[in-house]
Amino acid sequence: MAKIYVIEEKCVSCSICESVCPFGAIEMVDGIPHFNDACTFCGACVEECPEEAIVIERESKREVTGDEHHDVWLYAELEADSISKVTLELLRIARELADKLNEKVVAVFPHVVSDEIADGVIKHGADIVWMIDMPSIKGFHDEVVADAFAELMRQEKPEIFIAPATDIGRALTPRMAAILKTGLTADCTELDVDPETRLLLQTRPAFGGNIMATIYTPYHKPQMATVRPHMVKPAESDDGHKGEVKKFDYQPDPLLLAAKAILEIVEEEKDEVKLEDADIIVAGGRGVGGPDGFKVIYELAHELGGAVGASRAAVDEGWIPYPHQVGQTGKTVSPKLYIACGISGAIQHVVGMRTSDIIVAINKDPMAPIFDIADYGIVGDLFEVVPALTEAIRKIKSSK
Amino acid sequence: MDIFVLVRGGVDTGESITVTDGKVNLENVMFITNPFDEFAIEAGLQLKEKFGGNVTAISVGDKHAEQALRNAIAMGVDHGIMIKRSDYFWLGAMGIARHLADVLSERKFDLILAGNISTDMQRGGVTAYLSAMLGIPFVPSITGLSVDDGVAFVEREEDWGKSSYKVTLPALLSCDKGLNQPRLPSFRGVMKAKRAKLEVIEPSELHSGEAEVVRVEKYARSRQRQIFDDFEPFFEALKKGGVL
Repeated sequence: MAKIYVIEEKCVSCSICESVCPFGAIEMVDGIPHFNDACTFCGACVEECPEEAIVIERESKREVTGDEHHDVWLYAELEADSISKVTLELLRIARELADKLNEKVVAVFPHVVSDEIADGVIKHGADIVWMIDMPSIKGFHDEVVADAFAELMRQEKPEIFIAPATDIGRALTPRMAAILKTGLTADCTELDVDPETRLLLQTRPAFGGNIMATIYTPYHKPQMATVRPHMVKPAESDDGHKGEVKKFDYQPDPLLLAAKAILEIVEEEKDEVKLEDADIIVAGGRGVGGPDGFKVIYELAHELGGAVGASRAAVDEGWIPYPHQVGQTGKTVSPKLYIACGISGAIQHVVGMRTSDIIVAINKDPMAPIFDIADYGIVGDLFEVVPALTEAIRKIKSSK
Repeated sequence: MDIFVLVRGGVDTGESITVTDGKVNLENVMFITNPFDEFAIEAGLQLKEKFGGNVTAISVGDKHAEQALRNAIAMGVDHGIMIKRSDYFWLGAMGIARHLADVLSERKFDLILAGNISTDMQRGGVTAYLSAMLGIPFVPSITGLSVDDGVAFVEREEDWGKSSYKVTLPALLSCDKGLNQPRLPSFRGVMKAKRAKLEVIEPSELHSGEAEVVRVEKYARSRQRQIFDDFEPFFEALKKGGVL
């Protein structure tokens, strides 16, 4: 229940509150307003009080939206026909949140999956697996997928919904939140829940990683967040964990399909590892010197099973395409290991990678600011150091 | 064509931001036009050059919004609209979108263009909320755009390659780097921007944001800063540190 009270020291006995109360719930007693049972906590008196002497405390935010929202949902996806790593990470996060709230973990696929996959998701912690069954549409129509999820969520009323902060998650979730008229906190690095208020505490970097802000969205359900990849370990499999599989039939609105039609999809030969999902990123900057210089960067990345990043300087020179750019006008990444090669460490680059777990810098200039934020660094020519590193790692691998 | 461009006066993330008494210190911080918004402004100007019409920049905020609007006019935009909200900074994406929707639902337009994301807050949410509120199609993060007879053809880089879409207008498109090379303001433009009269709208209803900030902390992470001149000790340190 909400509480309403007067800060008596502030009250000047003006009686404005008594006259503005639409429910006749305020009575002045000895110059101080008293609130009777007719009060609906509408807040009219709070707004009108010239002294800000009236306070409403909404103890449990749940009464705002009602108690009908339950469970912790996550967006599940496949990668090369198996459960994606980021889905397993979300399963771990969802399980922890759900256990604190004493709720279920619900994983939702935007398509039908095999029994083995559904079973695998259950073993990794899901209590319910939903598969959205919709007619096949060319490509990935984010508005249709978001609409399908929103329709299912309207029916099932989840308390929390999390998705990965990848290209797909970033395209889908704001749309879902907009349809459901709820909030969304993008790019969280940490999620926790307060079992009392049941509020999701969402921590994310802001101001180019200068600040970590913890946010909650108290007035709307579901509480939605996207989570950056590899913030936690993937969930472990437990053969004993049981759950159920459900199917949701969805027919897209023809208007949605007509207003925005996918004409063509040109599948390009992409790097094996996506930048934002990568555990390891090897990045090149101006010091790489030209498009050919990226060859050594690619070789090291390949040896480490990582992705290739670049500074704005290298992208603007046309040495490597824009999707590789890390920094202010590029991608924000936080891999376990970031190896910066020939990158001076301009702040515009640093804001995109400073939350990386370990930073290694390779640069000719001992004064380069990148060394200030590096865990390990070497002052040297990247064309000597990088191939030497690749070779040394190759040796370790072959000796194992 | 009548085009609206959403602009934001945002914090220059190149600045060092401090926290005082649990609050982010925004007093002596540089504000700039959100870098991605310049791709949207450029796209709007190019369409105007081809088809005629008007390009109007619109922003929610106060003095920083004004600065961003004047910068847009200096680049060549015709008009600027400021929806005045001095506490815009911590207003969530949904609150900002509601204010924009209140105004834009009363106006005629063929296209709304916006930056892909704000570099300071990095939410990328306003566009999605706004398109849903206005009931118009939305394509995020476009890197290619052409318009023909009430239809926009757009391209977008995705994980699996490049997709092209056909979108009926009016629509909302958010612009990514790679779409164009934003022009610099001309001298004439700067002079015009100084004198330009902005349309200032005092919202009749103050929409609340969906999010509340519980706490803010300075992100600080101490780095080991083990710097070497030779490869061998460098490599040994990486091995010892469990990096490799």
